[in-house]
Amino acid sequence: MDFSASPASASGEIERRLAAASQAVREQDLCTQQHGQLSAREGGPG
Amino acid sequence: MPARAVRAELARVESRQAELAGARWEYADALAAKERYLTRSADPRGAWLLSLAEERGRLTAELGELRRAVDDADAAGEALAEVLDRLGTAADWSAFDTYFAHGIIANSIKHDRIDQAAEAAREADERLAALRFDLAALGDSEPAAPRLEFGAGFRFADIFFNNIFTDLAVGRRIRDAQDGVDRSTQQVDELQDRLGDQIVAVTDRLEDMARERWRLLAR
Repeated sequence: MDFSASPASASGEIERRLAAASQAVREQDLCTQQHGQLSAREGGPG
Repeated sequence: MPARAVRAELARVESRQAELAGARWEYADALAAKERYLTRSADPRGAWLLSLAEERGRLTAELGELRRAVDDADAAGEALAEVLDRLGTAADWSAFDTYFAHGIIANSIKHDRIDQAAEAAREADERLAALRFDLAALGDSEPAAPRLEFGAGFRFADIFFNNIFTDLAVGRRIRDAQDGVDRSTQQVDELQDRLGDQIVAVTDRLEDMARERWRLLAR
């Protein structure tokens, strides 16, 4: 993180990074849930 | 959904999972970046975050000491159980030697078992010393860890290697030692309970602080 930038832009950049990371974590949780459901279907009676 | 479609969807999800493998690390890193930014800024959250970080460091260290103390208390408990086991065998041979045998063989076996109990007691003493060291590191609030209590001036090696007691006196000494080990075991058990309670309290506090930190950073 470049703290030589203005406080507002540094703060904005951090917030954008945080929002993206938070979104990725949510998507990861969703993938885990979907993986469980799909694995159960794949292993279930065909 | 047909099986082929399920497999294809599964492969897509797994591929996406691989892409997102570092998501939690990136999120934690982003939170840390925001924390650093806020603590260097005039934002009032900065001072609170610094205070939380300081307390988190202190409590994390305390938790490590508590866990080490629990491990050492477990080891001391096992060592004391070993002493009791050896003393039990020595007591059996002592009773046999006193009331039934009186022979050199029974006497020799008895002293061998006493020797084993003495060795186990030395091991337990070392474990208890380690436990006392841990508790000292945790501060004055902790009560002193037990010492093995064999009665005033009682030393296994001194007494039993020198053969200066009669069989009855030896039997009585063994029973005294068993009582002492029982008391030490009870103290260690109580200490383990207290340490467990303290670990729960510190862990709860750390979790509260993590939530508070997240709340401050997510605003």
